[in-house]
This record gives sequence, structure tokens and C-alpha cells, in this order.
Amino acid sequence: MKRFSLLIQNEFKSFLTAPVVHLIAILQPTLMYLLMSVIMVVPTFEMRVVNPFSELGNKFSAAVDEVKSPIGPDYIELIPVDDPSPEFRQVIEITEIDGNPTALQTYGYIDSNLVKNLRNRLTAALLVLWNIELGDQGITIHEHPWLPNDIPYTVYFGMAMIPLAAYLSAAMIGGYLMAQEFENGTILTYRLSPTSFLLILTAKLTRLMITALTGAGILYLSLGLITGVWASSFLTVLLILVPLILIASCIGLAAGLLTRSTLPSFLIALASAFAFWLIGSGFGLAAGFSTIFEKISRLTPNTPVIEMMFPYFYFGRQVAAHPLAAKLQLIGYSLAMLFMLMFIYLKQVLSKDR
Amino acid sequence: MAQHKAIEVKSVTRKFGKLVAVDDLSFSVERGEIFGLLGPNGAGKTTIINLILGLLKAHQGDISVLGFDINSQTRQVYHRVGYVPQETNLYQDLSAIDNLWHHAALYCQDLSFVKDRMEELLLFTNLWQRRKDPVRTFSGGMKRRLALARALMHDPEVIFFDEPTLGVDVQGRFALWEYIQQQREDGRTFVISTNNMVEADTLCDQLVIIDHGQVIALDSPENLKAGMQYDVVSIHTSPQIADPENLFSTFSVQNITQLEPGCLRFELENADTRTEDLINTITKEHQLYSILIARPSLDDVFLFHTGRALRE
Repeated sequence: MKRFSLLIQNEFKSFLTAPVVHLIAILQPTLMYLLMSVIMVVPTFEMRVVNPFSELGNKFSAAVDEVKSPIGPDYIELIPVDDPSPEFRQVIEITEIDGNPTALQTYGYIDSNLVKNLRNRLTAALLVLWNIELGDQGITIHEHPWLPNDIPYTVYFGMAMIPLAAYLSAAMIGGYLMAQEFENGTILTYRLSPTSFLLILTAKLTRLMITALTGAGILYLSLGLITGVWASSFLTVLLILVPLILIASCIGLAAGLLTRSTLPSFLIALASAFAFWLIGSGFGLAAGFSTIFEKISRLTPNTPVIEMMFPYFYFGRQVAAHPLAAKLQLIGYSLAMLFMLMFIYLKQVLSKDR
Repeated sequence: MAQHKAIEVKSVTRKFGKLVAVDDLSFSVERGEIFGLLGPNGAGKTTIINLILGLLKAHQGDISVLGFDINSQTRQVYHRVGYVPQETNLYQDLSAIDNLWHHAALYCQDLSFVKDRMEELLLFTNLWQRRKDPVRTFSGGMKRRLALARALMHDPEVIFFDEPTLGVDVQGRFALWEYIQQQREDGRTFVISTNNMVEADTLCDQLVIIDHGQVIALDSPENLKAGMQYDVVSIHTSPQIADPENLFSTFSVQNITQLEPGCLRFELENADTRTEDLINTITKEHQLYSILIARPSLDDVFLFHTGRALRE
């Protein structure tokens, strides 16, 4: 145990050999999130409502309230205006056309999820309005909202970046440091060591695991501070990340072992991290995309991880079609990657047949 | 039971494709010996060290270190050997102490003695004052000393030292030689690969000269030099001897080299008994300023066995 703890300490000291790479790997996703959530993702949907204080306008507002649309600065901000000026990109005008209450809607470029969400809410609100018009002959509406409250898209965006943060830290640092051992000749120390290679690899993986969890934790903290949304169980979220980090560490270390050069292993880690993020439900749940894309997305380790994390951010709502299959997929990937890493280590470091 | 030799290499052959890097090589190293591997570049020295250390597998033959077979008992061997490669493979951004901790974690069987051992070795190599400094701030000599200290951390019985003083200044060189000799006195065996003949002559008890993967000569430096059949003669004359082959035709001199105008160097059997004849021959037509007759150095031995042709 003392040897193992010493090996892990040594692994952490290697921070000094590549501090910049560590900082990039650990902080890049968080910086990206901060930048994109502030600049690129509009957290508040500013909806201009023309003349909301008319009778119809009041009815509309009441209906919107009734369907629990999250009116307010966090999500949909209704801004009363007098005229539907063409310069407004999002406008709703409640009026009457041919004696019927009508919502004239104008949408500009805006995040598609917000638009979809708003349209759902407006449909519900109009159903309420319609029902009021029907009076005694009205129908009873039972609402079963999927979520008790709408959650800003920045939460999904941030949540889906947590696996990226974990993956990037593990793969990039693992790959870079392993390649550096070859470039500096220090790999010889491992080749001649009487210590079991399994213990050496376990120490490396443990160190990468801790580093990656730290990277993910920093992003989680930023996400919580920015959106005010915190996972119902942070520890479970971290636990879900463990197989992904294991996969990322194995891919990173394998890249370092195979290329023996820091730049290619750095690039492999970067490319695989971003490819998995983009394809693996990084911008929306896989089920929300086309069938082919969903199938491809499910091949990445990120999609099952995001689907398993989802309930902890979204009021316990399950989105994984087959939760057990998702777990088995991650376990299978992890074991396959571990065996691959061991094989490559034996071949690249301990082989005598060169 | 008889104690095993430090190293036994028996009929070892190793090929790289069609190239035979080590060809039916056999030698042994006694315990407590400083054993030198000499050979021109590409002679196979590094391959031999890699084979003995089990970093390469021999295609033929057997290698044992301290009685352990290198292929089937690799771990037992690695507990007992240390290696200082030619290119000092230290973690440059870590301190001396951190480098030693790293090595200890990978090599030391008993970790309870590591701190004391570390202090002892850093004092021994005169690096204690700089123990917390990053290695990148060390001079070449300090790095070699630290590499030696690291190789000694797990108290190995056999240490392989590749080019111990390459790129090290004179003071550093003498210090390293002293450390190696002190460690030998403590019973350790050293296998040194070097191109520095002074180093080989000063340090080694036994030398093996290797060329084309084969043993060319194996003996102590003294015996190797004594085994040479000629003396080395250096003369300074005026005017310059225009046709030395003709002038010394009755002496059967070899390898005549003009060092600078008026200065000649050649090899001659039993030159010390023929000094008078030699002087008489030269002074017939030339003025002799100086004559030096010396026993061959290790350089001469090396050149005799490996030839003067440049190697890639």
C-alpha cells in the first residue's frame, strides 16, 4: 500500500513536468462553458408581448401562468411593448382576427430548444384560453408536465460538458505524460523496474481518475454557480463518470505509448474528446436527433453517461431507453480499454522482441 | 555452494534483421569487479548491455546475472541491478529528492530505509545541498552523480554504467571515478561501457574489446598492454625525415604517422633494446632533438585490435 501511495504521489508530481498541459486539460472545458454559456447560449428568452394589459393580454398572461411557464429572467422574460416593431426578433401579439383570439408570433434566430419549449408552452396556454371561451362546455385539462419546471438550456449544455471535462483531463494528461516518458528516456526506469506493471498502471490510472474528477468538479461548480441548478447527488454524478474516465485514461495512455511523442498524443486526446462530445449528446439528448445520428451517438461513451446523469439534474427524469444496457455498455467499454492498455503497455514497454 | 558469478554470457547471438549485432559472444564478470566494455561505435556494446539487462532477448545462448536467468527470472535480476544509461534519464523538472523517491517507489523492496538511504547517497555524491533544486539547474557532472545515486538507491549488487563521464568536466570525472571505486570496495560489481581509454585504464579490472559483435580481446588493462608486441617510438628531427620507410627498412617499423612537421610516431618491436641502433640510423643524416620510447597505451591496444578505419 505504501508503494502504491508513493507511486501515486510521484504521478502527481509529474504536474511539474507539464503544468501548461495540465491547466489546459483541466480548465479548458470550464472556460469553454463559461464563454459559451455567457456569449453563445442565451439564458433568457426575451419575448416582447404587444399590449399585454388589454383584456386579451391579461387572459393570455393568466393562461401562461396557469401552465407554469417559467416567466422571468431565468428563462422567458415577457417584455410589454406597444407595437410589434420589426426590429424585435421575438414578438407575440394577442389580438383578434375574425372575432377569434389569435396569437401572432414572430420568431427570430434563437436557440432551437428554447423555441420548441416556448411553442409547447404557448400551445398549452392557448388550450387554456380556448377552454375559457368554451365556458360550461369546456373540457377539463389535466396537465402532466414532463418536468415540474423548465430548466435553462445552459444546464443541459453544462451537464453535457462535464463528461468532456473528465475525458479531456484524463486523456490529454495521460497521453502527454506517457509520451514524455519516451521523449525524456525515463520510460527505461519503468522497463527495468521489478515492480508489477499492473501496479504501475493502476497508480497512473488512479492519478488520472483523481485529476479528471477534479476537472469535472470544477465545471460542475461553475455550472451550479452560473445557473443555480445543482445535481441532486453530486457523488452519484462523479460515480457515473468513473467508467468514462477509465476509458479516456486508457485511450490517452495508449496514444502516448503508441506514438511516443507528446504532440500527436496531445492531438489524439483532444480530437477524441471533442468528437465524443459533439457526437455524444453534447448539445441535446441523442433521442432528439435523427435515428442514424442517435445510433452513432449511442456508440460513444458520452451518450450513456449523459443519459445516466440526466435524472440528477432534471428532477429524477429518466431518459435512458435501457438504463441497464447503458451501464453494461460503459462497463464493457472500460474492460475492453483496460485490456487494450495492458496489451499495448506489454508490447511497447516490456517487450524484449524489438 | 559456490557463489555465482556476477554475469555470465554464454554463446549469445542477437540479430536485427540480417545484421548480426552480437555474434556467439561469451564472457563472464566476477563479483566485485569493475568490468569495461570497449569497442568502436556500432560494435554492439549497447546491444550487449540491453541483452544482459533483459531489455532485448537473445536469439541464441544464455545470460545469467548473479545466477538468475535473465529471461525467466527477470524480476529477481531487476531487484539486484542498477543502470545508469548514457543519456541521463532524470525528470528534469523534479528535484533530486523527488527523482530518488520515484526510483525508490519502483525499485526498493523495503521502503522503510529509503529516507536514510537517500540522505546517505546524496551526501556521498555531494548533492545534499542541492537536493531540493530542480534537476534542470544541475551541471552535467551533477546529473551524472545524481543518476549514479539513483541507480544505487535500491542497493544493487551489479551496476551498469554507460559512458560514466561523457560530457563531464575533469573535476566531475575524477569525483565519479572515486565514487565508483568506493562502491567497488563495498563489494559492488560495475559494468562500464566507455570510449574513454583513460577511464577504462584507470577504473577497470577487466576489459573486453568488442567489434562486430564479437570478443576481440579480454583481459586486464595491464595484460592487454603487455600483450602488445611493439613499443611506441616518437621522434623529433631536423630536417624532417623524407622517406621513413626507407630509412627504417632494417627495423621493420609499422604504422608510421607524421604528427607534425619533424615529428614521427611509429611502432617497433623491442624498441628499448634497439635504441642505440635507432639513434645512430637517425643521426647519420638528421639532427635528433628528442626520442621517446613508450609501452603501448590502451589507445594503441584498442587501435591494434579494432583498426584505424573510421566507423559510422
